[in-house]
Amino acid sequence: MRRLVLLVSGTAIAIAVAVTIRPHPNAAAPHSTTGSPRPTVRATSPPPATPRAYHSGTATGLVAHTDYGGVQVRVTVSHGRIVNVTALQLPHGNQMDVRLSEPAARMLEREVTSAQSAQVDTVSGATYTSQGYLQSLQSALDRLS
Amino acid sequence: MSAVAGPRRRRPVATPVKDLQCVAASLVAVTVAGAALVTGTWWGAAPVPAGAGAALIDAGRFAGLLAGYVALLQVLLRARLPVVERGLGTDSINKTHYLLGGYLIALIIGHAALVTAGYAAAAGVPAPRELVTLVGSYPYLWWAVIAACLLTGIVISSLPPARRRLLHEVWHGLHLLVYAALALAFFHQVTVGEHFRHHAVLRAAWTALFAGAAAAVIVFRVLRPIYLSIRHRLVVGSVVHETANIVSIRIAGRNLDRLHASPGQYFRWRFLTPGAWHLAHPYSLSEEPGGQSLRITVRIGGPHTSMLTRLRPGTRVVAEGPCGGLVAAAGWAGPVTLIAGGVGITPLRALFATASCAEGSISLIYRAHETADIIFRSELEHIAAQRGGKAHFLAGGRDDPRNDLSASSLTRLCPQLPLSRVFVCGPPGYTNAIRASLDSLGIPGRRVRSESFHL
Repeated sequence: MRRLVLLVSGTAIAIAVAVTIRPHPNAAAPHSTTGSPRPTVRATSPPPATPRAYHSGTATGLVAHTDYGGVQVRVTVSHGRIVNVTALQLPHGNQMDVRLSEPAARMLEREVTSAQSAQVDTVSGATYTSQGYLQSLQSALDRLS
Repeated sequence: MSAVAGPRRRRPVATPVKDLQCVAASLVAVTVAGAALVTGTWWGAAPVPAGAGAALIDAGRFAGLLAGYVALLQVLLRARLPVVERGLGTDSINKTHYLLGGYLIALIIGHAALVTAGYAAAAGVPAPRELVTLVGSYPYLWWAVIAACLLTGIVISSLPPARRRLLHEVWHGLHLLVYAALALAFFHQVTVGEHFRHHAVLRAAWTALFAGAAAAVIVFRVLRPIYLSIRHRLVVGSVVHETANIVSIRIAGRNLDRLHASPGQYFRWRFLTPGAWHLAHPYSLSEEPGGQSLRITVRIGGPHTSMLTRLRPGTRVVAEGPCGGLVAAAGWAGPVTLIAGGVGITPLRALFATASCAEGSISLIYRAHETADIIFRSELEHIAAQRGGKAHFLAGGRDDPRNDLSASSLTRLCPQLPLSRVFVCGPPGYTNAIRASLDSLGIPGRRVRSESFHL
């Protein structure tokens, strides 16, 4: 019994130490819940001046490969403004991926259309999906510039 | 390896001293290396979780990986692998298995609790609700929950209070459910496990480890015993009463030297008669294994052992083994001391005749409850005379002052004990008491091999 207690507590300490020294990205970042609706900024406040003018049209981005699967988006630009971003492909390995990535994609679309660029913050809790999303978006925007 | 090895003996039966010590050390080294690989997998093979609850999720994943690894070790410890049996010995295997059983449950509960708490924090919901969501969202998670419950129940059934109340057959049947539980748990590891579902190579390696462990169990616990029984035509030769309640059974067969059993080892015997074919019980070889026959000696206690007295010659026998680590290393040139309690004399009887030692420096201390319970007396005296050794017979309970087994009494009986290689076999209380005496004499653990039997 004494040996078991030693073994279990030793392992608990080892795991705690290992988790602490392993670098955690955004570990301190406040969590933003993935599904909560935010007021849409598009209609109310005019966007800041676009840093780059895009041609009007629709472009499909490259597939960004993340650890959880491929991410691909299509962007529509009208009169120099990003009006729509649609996710064509998101991680869907299991229901947890879907649960995390779909709300994240909706949120990113709102952020991108309001910022009018792919330079927005990633969604915490769906970091990898966000990075893939923004990468694919940038490649699509590059085609329209 | 050995100059005397004839063409039929493909392997020398005895292992050199150094090899035997190396085997145990290598097994420990392999286990530690495996744990390091598991840690490396955790560290490097999955993206570090981010956001709220990340640290909890990360710790939970680590605990889960370790749990899988410990489960694998548990199966391999029980697979009757010859190298493990000889290298560690039954007592060490039992103790380690018991310790790791509790450890495994702690890891499983820790894994489930940490992962649930982590995702609950990430989603901002209470943990119980998150647990329901997780089990509903992931494939095979239900199976894992069932597996965790089964394993916990099995560990509880093995704790002394429960174990005492359960029939051995019931407890054993429950314990066999471990394999079902591990199979159920395996699927969530490779489909949901963050370290395996994105990495085909790691997934394949993990699968291969579990498949290998399953194969080892099937081969060494099922197929090989059947194969050996057929190849060697193992049957009951004769049944002889040594005393009123101790019988020796001679097992006949052919080419039995090719079983590679060492004196001091045992097999788990299954006698194919109605009412007994489903039970396998461990009985030691009570004589150095020969080419034509093996002898086992059994104390008659329960219903199974009393059946043994009625075995008919010619009854088919299936033997699982050889098992056990009471193995004398070849080439030991110091003294050897054998200390037996009750029917624990059986494996030591075989070692008394064969253990390699300095000329005339083998001694035996053998205690039984009554003089009438002392078996093999003439055989033992004969061997002692032949090898220039000494056999001390003690009769009576452990409270009898003449039978005191303290360090000083043991050395009085056997002055060369502190320099000896020591083999101990008896009931658990007896072997523990002897080991304590040997410890107090400063005899290093690696020179002592002990095995306990349970009546």
